[in-house]
Amino acid sequence: MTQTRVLSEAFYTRAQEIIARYPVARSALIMLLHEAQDEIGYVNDDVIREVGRVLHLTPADVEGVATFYTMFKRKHPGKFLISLCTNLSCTINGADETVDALRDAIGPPDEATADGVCSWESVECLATCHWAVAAQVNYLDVPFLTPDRARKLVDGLKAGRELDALLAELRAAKSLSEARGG
Amino acid sequence: MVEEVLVVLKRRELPESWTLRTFLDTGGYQGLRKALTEMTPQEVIEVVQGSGLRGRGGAGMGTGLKWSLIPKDSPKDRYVVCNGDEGEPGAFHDRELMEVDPHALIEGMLCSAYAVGAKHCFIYCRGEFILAHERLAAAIKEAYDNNYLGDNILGTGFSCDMVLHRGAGAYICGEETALLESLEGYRGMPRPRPPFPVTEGLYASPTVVNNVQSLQAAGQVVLNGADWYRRWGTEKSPGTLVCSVSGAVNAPRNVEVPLGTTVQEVLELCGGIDDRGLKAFAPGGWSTPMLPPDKLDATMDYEGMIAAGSVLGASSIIAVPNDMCIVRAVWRGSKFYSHESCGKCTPCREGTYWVEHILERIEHGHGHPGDLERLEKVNNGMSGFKSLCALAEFAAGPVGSSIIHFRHEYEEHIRLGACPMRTETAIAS
Repeated sequence: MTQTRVLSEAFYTRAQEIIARYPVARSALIMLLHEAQDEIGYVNDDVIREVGRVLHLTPADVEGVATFYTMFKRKHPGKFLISLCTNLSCTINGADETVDALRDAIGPPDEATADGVCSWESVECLATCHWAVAAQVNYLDVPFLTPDRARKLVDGLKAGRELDALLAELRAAKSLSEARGG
Repeated sequence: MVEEVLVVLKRRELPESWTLRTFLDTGGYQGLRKALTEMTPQEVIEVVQGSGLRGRGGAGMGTGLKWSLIPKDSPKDRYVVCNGDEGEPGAFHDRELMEVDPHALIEGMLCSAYAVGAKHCFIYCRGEFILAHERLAAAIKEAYDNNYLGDNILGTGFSCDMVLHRGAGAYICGEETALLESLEGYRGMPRPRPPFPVTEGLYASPTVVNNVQSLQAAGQVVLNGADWYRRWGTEKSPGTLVCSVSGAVNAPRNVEVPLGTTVQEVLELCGGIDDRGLKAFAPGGWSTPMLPPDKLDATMDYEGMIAAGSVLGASSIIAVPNDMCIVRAVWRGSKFYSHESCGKCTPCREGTYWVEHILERIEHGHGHPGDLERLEKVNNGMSGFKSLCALAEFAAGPVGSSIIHFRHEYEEHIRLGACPMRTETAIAS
């Protein structure tokens, strides 16, 4: 019985390349989930089933793994996912205020805006504590995300500005005090 | 004023430090060449052992000692795995080391692979580290294209492959057996030990699991010798150490200093404490017991930190300012541990849950009389190595140490029925 595939031929070709790197095929599971999520936007039931079929694993097995890892999303995040660190070094330097700003600008965490453009999440240490308050947009680093800069970022994304250009502007600040001053 | 000693960070200021060209222009792959052409595998192990280099990931086990424990007569394949899953709150050195000098990591891993007889290496890079991943991928490709990886490396007959693996967001995968489970395609849950990874690691085969910094340092030790590395540091903690410094400091960054440098000196290299003043600091990442300001003369080395009442951990100093409520800081930390507990062992799964909830109600003014004693009881139930890995110990460290040094803040919260330091603002869950 054949079912319609949601993942592209390119995914299936790439999957075989990735599997071939490992002595045991199952080791490729997390890499394949990344590839599939990059293509579909999240890990839906089709992804779980199709990745499982590639590796000869049951959907339950694949789902058990996928749900262990926070980067794999079971529902569609916004086109732009803002991940804000609220761990210690960032909380010490004002993460709470940025949380409030994102809540106002986007809404509750882990829910995409109605137009699907933005969502935000509170995450654990991103290993850029020297840039506190640290954040990422689609896993690209954003330093010193003060409330003003968070609003500027969200406004820019909603207005359809290029992410690269927005990131370049935000990365121009070299310290938290400079970011606050600007 | 103390100065930095750049060993593993020596290329941080070089243009395109991550490229093969820059690496080769500055002595890169000379350690590998020396190992493959002038040394036996045993000699490589001995020079790393002789240097006294200890694992920089937290446990502090001798790097060379670990390599020496790989059985030489095993019929199984052997593996070298780099733990690049940095996630300790406050730690950001492994990320910079991978971004700045990916070839140095490849070189250190190849020296390890040659020493233990491995033909496959894996770099487990944290999923969120896009730039590190890109640079490592490019460096591995350059290394294959130029015969530093693959078959018959540098014409010596030694062959080795390297795979770059991406994590997907799980702090626990920085624990070596959880990392191996994850690398095998499972949920990252720690394994019982023994057997240890050196005998039954990846695919139940002998496996070296080393931290990024340890491997990068090992490559330079192979080239320059054990005595060269022992020029820095202390007798029991030789060499240099990269410290991540963040929180209430003027110029947060990574600094590389000889082991034995005081916390005060490390902070001075980062512009000192900012105008909020210092209430406490965690010396090795949030998971290490916090210390009060009168311990600023404690030294950043394995023995010095134990003497001061904490541990070196991931050598990542978080400076907590005077205007930060300690209960609130510890509560925020506790949310991290309950979120990251994999749930396999009861003391950790239950303990982290209850610690978080007791701290939450104390901070929010709903603490009961007896809560502090209850907190201590649960915390003691988590600590003492009752679980398969150290996550519960990590969770217990900040709680126990904060009660020792700041008991009055907890008591004041319960007595007032409010946090004395702030109006309430919810932290996003």
